[in-house]
Amino acid sequence: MNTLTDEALMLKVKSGETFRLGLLYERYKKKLFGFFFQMNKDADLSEDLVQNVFIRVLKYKHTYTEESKFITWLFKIARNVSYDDFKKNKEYRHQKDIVNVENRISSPDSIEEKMIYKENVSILKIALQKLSYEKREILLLSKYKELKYKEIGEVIGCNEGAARTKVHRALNELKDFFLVLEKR
Amino acid sequence: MNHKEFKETIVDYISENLSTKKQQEFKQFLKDNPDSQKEIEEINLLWSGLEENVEPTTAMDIKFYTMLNAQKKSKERVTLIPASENFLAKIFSKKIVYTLAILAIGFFIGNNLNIETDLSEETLQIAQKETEEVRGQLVLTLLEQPSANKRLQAVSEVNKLNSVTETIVKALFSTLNNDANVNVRLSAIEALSNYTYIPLVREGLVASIIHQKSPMVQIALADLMVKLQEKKAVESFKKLIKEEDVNVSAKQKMEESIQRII
Repeated sequence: MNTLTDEALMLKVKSGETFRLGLLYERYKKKLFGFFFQMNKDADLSEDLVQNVFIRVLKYKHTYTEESKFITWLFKIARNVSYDDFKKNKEYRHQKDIVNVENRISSPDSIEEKMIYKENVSILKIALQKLSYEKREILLLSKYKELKYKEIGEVIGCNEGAARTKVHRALNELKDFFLVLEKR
Repeated sequence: MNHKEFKETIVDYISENLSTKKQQEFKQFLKDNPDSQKEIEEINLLWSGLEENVEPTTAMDIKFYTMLNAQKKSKERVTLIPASENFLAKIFSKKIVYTLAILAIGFFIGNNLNIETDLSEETLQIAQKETEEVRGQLVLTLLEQPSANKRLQAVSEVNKLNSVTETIVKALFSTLNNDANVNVRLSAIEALSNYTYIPLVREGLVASIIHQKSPMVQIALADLMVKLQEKKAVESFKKLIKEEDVNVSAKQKMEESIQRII
């Protein structure tokens, strides 16, 4: 059993059994893709970013130690990959976001065709895009059951309590955005 | 659980960060407060909205596995030849660096030591010269002491000298001819026997034979003359043998010596 844990697999990758990364990839590709997609709303780009994460995992495999949970380590890398991309495409992304948001709000088809729940979800997605980069990031991280506040803190570089507060604030802000958008 | 506490734990509840006990408390609170139930539903909606149903395409998988294979291949190439080369190079370069470092350190230390010994040889010579002088002075001073012991010490100091000065030789002879103590005179002979390569010393020794009254000294001189094969001494011994107050055994010894010298 022990050989199948993420940590044991990663240690094998570290010791040179690179092919074992395949299993870790299968376990985390959806989570990572979802994370990136939520951050940038660009499927092609997100796929590239997932690829970048695993390239970095291989490049920095020597820095992995069994003391840290694999998912924490992985998301630390993912976060850096995402942030690097965010910095690179900041201007472009910002404009695109606004256009996207406006399109969705003014598109009568989607509102009419979808059920109320679905409508709410789509509004919520817009609201999420309105959140700041950091708040969106922490909310997405807190969605993963494997990542408790302690681990989230490790990923973003703060303590457990601070991570908890940040999640609370982000969620409250999301709620506010959501309510504003719903009324429009 | 009160309302404030409830608000604070909502996020923990939906993100499943609550302990089982807290979770039960929370659920109980929801049952008791229908309004809160609505709030939770709202938040749950928000929370579920964070989920994205878009899935990555197989293109991503293909890209990943291509990358992984390329990595494996390049790694194999690295591990087979260059890695071993690297490994060897590391070991050797380390060894070579250490060796060179030690060599260099040794060279400098050796160099420094050499300079120091050059210097110390000079200073040593000076120092030796100085001690010789001091010792010479000491010999001369001690020879004039009234205590026989001190005079003996003076003669033994002479043995430590590398070279003797004329003054010391003269002082030794005056001891040999005039000293009241037999032992001092004997040791003077001993000391002088080291310098018999000096003609003056040989002559002095021969000349002193006739002045000796003590049979011990006469015998010692006779032995020394045999050793030196000094023919000039024969005359002096013959003279001594003729004298009446000379010890019989000393006379015998001198006669033997005369025989052996010839």
